[in-house]
Amino acid sequence: MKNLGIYIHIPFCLRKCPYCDFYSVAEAQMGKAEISSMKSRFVKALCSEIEAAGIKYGKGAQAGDQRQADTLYFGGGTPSLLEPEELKAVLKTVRNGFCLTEGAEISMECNPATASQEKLAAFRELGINRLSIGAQSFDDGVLKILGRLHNSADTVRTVKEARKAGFENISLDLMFAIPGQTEEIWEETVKKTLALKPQHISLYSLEFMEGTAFTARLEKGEMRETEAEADRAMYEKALDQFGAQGFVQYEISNAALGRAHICRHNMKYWGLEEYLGFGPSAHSYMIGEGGRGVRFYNVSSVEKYLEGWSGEAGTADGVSAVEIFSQNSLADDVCEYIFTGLRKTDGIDLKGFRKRFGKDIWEFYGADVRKEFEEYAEGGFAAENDDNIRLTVKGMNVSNRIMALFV
Amino acid sequence: MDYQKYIRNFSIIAHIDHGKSTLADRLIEKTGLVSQRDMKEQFLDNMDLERERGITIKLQTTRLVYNSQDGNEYIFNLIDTPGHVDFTYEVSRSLAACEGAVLVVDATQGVEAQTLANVYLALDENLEILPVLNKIDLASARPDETKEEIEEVIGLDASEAPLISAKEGIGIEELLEAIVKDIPAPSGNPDGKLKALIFDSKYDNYKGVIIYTRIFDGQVKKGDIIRLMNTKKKYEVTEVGICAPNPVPTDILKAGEVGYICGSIKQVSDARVGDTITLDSNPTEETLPGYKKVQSMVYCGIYPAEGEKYENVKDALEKLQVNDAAFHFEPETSTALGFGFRCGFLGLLHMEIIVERLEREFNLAVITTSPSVIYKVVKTDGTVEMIQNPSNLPSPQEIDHIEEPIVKADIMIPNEYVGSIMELCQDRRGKLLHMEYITPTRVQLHYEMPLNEVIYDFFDALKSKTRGYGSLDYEFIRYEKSNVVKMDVLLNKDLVDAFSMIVHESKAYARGRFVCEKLKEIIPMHQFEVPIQAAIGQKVIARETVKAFRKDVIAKCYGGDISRKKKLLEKQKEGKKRMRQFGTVEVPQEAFTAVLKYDDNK
Repeated sequence: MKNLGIYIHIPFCLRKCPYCDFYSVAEAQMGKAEISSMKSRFVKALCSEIEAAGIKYGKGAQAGDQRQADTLYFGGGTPSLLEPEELKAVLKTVRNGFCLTEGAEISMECNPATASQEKLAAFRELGINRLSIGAQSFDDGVLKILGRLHNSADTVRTVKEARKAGFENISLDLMFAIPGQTEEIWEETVKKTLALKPQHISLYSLEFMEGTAFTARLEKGEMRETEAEADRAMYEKALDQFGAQGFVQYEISNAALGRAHICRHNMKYWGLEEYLGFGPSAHSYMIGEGGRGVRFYNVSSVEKYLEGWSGEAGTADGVSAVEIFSQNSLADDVCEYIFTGLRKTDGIDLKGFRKRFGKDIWEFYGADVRKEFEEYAEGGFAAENDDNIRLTVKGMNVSNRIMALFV
Repeated sequence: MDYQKYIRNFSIIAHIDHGKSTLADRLIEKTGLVSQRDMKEQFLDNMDLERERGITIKLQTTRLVYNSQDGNEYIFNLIDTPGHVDFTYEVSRSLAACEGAVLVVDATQGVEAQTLANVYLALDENLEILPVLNKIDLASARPDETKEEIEEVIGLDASEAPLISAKEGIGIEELLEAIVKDIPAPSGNPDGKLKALIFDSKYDNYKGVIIYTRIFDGQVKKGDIIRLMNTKKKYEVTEVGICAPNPVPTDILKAGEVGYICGSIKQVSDARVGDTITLDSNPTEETLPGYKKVQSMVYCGIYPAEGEKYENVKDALEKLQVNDAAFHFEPETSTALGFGFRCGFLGLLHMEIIVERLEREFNLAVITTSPSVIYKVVKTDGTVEMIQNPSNLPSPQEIDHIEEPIVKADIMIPNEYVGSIMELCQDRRGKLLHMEYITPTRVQLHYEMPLNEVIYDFFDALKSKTRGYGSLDYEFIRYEKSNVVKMDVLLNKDLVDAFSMIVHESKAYARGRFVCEKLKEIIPMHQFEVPIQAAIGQKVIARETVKAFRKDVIAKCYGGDISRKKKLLEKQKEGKKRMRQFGTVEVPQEAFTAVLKYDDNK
């Protein structure tokens, strides 16, 4: 049976972070009562969506179409705001609809100080076996600039409580190149991160995304982007220090304490494997007829999502909750496979590529693309041998322009 | 019966934003020529480019039929005029075809510099000027003050001026009546010798060149042999007709009428604006006054961009040329850009328009090089060479001296800007001839200035420094000896001839610095450092460096949403397509125009 990943978007936050452009609605704007009531309606709608997908792709599907889930990921928003009862209902629906493989990776994103030890223990009990904690920084000044609701002590406490609750696979999210963050402050954060002995670290350089408060401040001149040189120095230094403690970088922004702790769910995105996304703004990629990919994603609106998936049991079809449905061409699949694949330090396995697409990678591109890629290789930005092509760390720093060769 | 009694030939003159085109639309609508449903916004501006810039570049004329309150049917010929300094001559010829002009003044803004320039052109042609106050519907309209201003500044009686809103259709009926009443009917002699003015021409695939004409005396019909008196060319008339605004054939065009003539004419340069048409068999003795042979003042290279075919560019240039007497081109080559064309224009705006039309109408990717004027190079052996391409400048030891074209520039500005504009002119090596107060608040400055300084960015600077109120007119007066030098640009030590320009010695350092700074902003980072240098001969006078790239990465590719990242990469790839490779350095196409743009912060 084919495997797939399942992503579940929990679109609720206590407050919107000023740099974040992921879809969520916040208590700070809507009020606690409204969010709480919306959340319970949302869980019902979510279950309807999962149920319908189970009939199409899971246990309810015809033998040839059946998939089992080997990864499950709760992202957001702030999934740790779910009540254990709510999570229980969602997980039950997933298990009813899909076979979960033994040893399936079940991750949840968690913001420090949004879940008590008791709640964490309940999550663990329900089957969550990987926790991704949004630490972002261990400097309270930086956390304040980021508009986070927690301080560094909260993060330390949450990690400890998570351990006590039985989590053995913990990831910490970090951000750098933040206005006001010096290289010293960043080094301190790196040190404190390592001291908590996580199994996995994600490190993102701050991006000014369209429509965020940060971008508005940038445009008004109230905020400045970190110089490229300083940004990359922070990145490279952190990777060195993580490496010295046994972490292996396996993707542009991710490192794991040994390959066993690589986030298998996220690897599906970068390997162009199948995944289903549930909840508003969640994206799916499924392989359809002729082996061509199909992408679809849900509306970025809880209200519209609820409209699409509420109603009498069995009558909702969710059609109105889908915003885009698009069929990939062979060229789309090839280019997406390459530019996501080049995010991985292992790069693209040439044999695997041939197996999936029937031809060698260079048969899809003109001699000019190959020549340019070789120039990057000569400059130390990329590497190629008989088995794979990949980017070096130097190349990852400027990966967009190399990936752009293939789109 | 005197048919001329029922004809009114007029133009609308206005400052750029004062609503000329909207008013033309309303007149067309009210006279029932076009149904409201078929109206495209701003009917007369028939090029998208013009609509976008909100200015009329190429004119289009149209005939309206109006049933007046006096019970008679009148023929209105509305002759549109272009609105920019490069086209003053065309404006003057269009006005010469009229008996009157409707002067549109924005009642919220009052009289403006450009209005004034156009009024003077109209007065030169002895037109009856009918002032009209527009935008009367706006709360900020101040009709009484505006009327006073018209009287005081222009010296026209504005007490009877119709108050209208072209946008809302207010007062249009009154205006139409005023046109009947105030603008004189033509009074030519239909039985005299043919004397007709070419005020526009355009190329049509089926008919050949269509001459737009105003008949002053005599008549013309199909089969007549006409003579164009200045170019001395003869053609057999294949069709005459009226502009509605599309050509509608008629039997004859008579004195006082406006219409078109076709005669299997192959290019518009054979039927020049301002020329006089007469009958070959019975010619008039005198030509109409005001004819000028249009001369290209500004030259630049136009090259196919990466991936664009030379032939496509050539075809497009040929098509533009048949329709534009002021534009011409010939093949040339550049070491950096390969095969291309040296093109001549009236001025910088004309050049920009041609380039934009190549890009939009013909969907071509082209690169334009620094514009240049024609230098007169007197060599040590006594021979003289006219140089329009900096790369063709003889070596310094062969040159005795160089002369550059000087123009007389007339600049009209509100008085509060006198200081900053004088400073600007001085910076552009201008010599103040004199200055006059046209009204207590409006000043005209008369300068002698090297054309070289005018074409770079002078007009942009003037507009910018006067918040759009300055206007400029210039004409060539003479060549004058000058210390000009050729400045080259080197990218990663390689000379890129397409960037070479001729500059005055005193400006070379500043220009060199400016070009290097601009290129630094525009040239993307490469794998390696890219030095940018400006040099005169072997001597480097300015230098900047583009650092090697360091960061170009999407940190977060997460939640399975890769469509946005893909779009970003696609955009990046698109940008790369617009790059031109020079040796090892990639240069975006816009670099060529960016080094010429006026920079406010400078």
